[in-house]
Amino acid sequence: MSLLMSDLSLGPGAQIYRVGGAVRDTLLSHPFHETDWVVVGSTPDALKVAGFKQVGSDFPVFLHPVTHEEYALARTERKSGPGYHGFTVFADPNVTLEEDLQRRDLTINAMAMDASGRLIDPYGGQRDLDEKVLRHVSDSFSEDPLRVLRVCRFAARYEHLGFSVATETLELMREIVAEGGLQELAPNRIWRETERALEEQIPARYFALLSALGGDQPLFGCQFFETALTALHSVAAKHGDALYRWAGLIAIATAPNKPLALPVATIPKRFQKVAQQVHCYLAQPPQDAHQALQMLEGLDAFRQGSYFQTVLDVLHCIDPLFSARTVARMTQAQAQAIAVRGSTFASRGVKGPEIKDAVSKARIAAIEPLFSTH
Amino acid sequence: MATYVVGDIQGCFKPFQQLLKRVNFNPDKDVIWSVGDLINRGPNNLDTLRWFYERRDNVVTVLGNHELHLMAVSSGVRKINKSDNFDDILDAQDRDKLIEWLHHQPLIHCEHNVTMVHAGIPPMWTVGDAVDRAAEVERVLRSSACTKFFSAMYGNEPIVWRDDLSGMTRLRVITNYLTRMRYCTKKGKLDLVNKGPTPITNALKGKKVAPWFTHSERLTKDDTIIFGHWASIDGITDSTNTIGLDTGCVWGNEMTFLELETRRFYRCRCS
Repeated sequence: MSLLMSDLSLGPGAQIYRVGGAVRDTLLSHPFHETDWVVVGSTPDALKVAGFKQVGSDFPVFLHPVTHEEYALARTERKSGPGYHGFTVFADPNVTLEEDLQRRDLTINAMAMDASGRLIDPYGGQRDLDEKVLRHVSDSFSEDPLRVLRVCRFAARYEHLGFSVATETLELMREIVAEGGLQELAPNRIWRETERALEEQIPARYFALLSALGGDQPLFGCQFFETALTALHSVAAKHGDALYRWAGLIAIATAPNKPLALPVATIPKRFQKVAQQVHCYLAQPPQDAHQALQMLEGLDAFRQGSYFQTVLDVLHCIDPLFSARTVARMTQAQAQAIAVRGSTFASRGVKGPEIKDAVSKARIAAIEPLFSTH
Repeated sequence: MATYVVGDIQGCFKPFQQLLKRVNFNPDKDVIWSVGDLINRGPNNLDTLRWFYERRDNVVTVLGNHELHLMAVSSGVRKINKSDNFDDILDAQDRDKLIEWLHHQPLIHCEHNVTMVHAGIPPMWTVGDAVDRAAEVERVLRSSACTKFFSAMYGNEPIVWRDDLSGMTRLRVITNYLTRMRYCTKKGKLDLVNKGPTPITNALKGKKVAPWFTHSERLTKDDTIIFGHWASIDGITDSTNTIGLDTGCVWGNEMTFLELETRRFYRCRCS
């Protein structure tokens, strides 16, 4: 791993460490995709001379010229105002690795590894990995409320390994939520963390923990009861896609006959749409050809880019009334109905608005046999 | 850790608090189950419902006929009856979240080899049948079809289950069995008229009715079933594994707790 580094001179005394998730997941034998690095004893200029590209202006973070992995100069941060940008960053060749690690959220994320594979673990990360505990490193944890969501996400990520949140960390998280810290967060950061959580192994854990902390109402405007969490769990057992999982959760968590009270601006359109559509058809599978056509039309199933199949798949996971048979029948109905085209009637001399009627009738006739076996 | 199952509370919050004190209830460790009918007729409906809502992660409750009625009234499809006194809930500023929570409660609960249901399970259903059919109603309660269900929920017909029932009729029969049943025939025909300890009127025209749990061919006779709903039998079922917990607190009789682990009963007089 240090093969490339030896070719790059970052200044006398500069040292490079693997940090964060890569170290943690290596020790856990858990798969990971990115490796982050910390450079101690160097300067932005030395990195730029070596060919690194600086990303962003707020933090001394650089991309490696070849691997494009993230290299950050060791830094300390201090909260100096509200929000994500309210931090004073101090990066200097004298900042030590230990100081850099201390600003991190959890002990298991505050470990480093040098080129020889030696572990640098000043805050007990290895012990907490062994004991399967998510524990904060220091009081600076409270400086960024996003960390509440991050801990919930790690709980979802490692739930299947038996991890739990340390009592004192939970206490701190509860305080942050009670003080309204979550409302301070930029909506796009909330969604980014939530979407990642949806893709973790046991996503229901993220929402269960948020709900126990009282964070579900302020963040999502709805309550995640056991029923909604169970629904999410059932979807997650079959579908890894965040869209499916979100739709299953929200379809059940949404109060009947009430508009979704979500921070709508930040949640991608398709997430809102599919969740709303699943909610709309919950417990109401089509009973006859008319209702089947209504559902196909309601879900825009004749157009490209329709979420018809996704909605059916999610309903199948969370609603016993959408049995495998019902789902198969609706998929067939879609194929039968789509084969009926307006152009056929136009060429037969049917005109204007009558074409629409003729198409509907023909589609119902085409679907009818699927429902007559009852 | 202990699990206490409480019979119908119906807004009798004070005796409920007395019993909690009597058993040295530890809110951090102990769990409360309720057979349903937390509210209506008694003096403190709102306090009772809030108590359960606030401890929602450590309570289990199944829906009774009074909760379903409250939800129907709250949704606007049904008028409040003269005998209902849950106005305190309807007027509460936290009403929406309390009612929403009820929409997410089950009609039946199985855990620790025990099945809890508000009224009972008809003789021709297994516990598994009851759970599957309850799930149909539970799903509707969480969906936008729930108001349609509340409008269709009231009524005593049809009086018996058939596998091919569909739509709201099917859901009504399921709901009547699980939340309203007392007497039925051995084939499960419902007599929803008789409420006393012995049937007086001949509601089903000559068909022999008996308490649902006494039929010898009942498919759940080897299962332990805890239920409430039927105050006039005072918890007496003459069976060790069919446990009735409605001892008529709201009528000035008693409130009952059952400690699941030890099978001990605790009772408290209500005046």
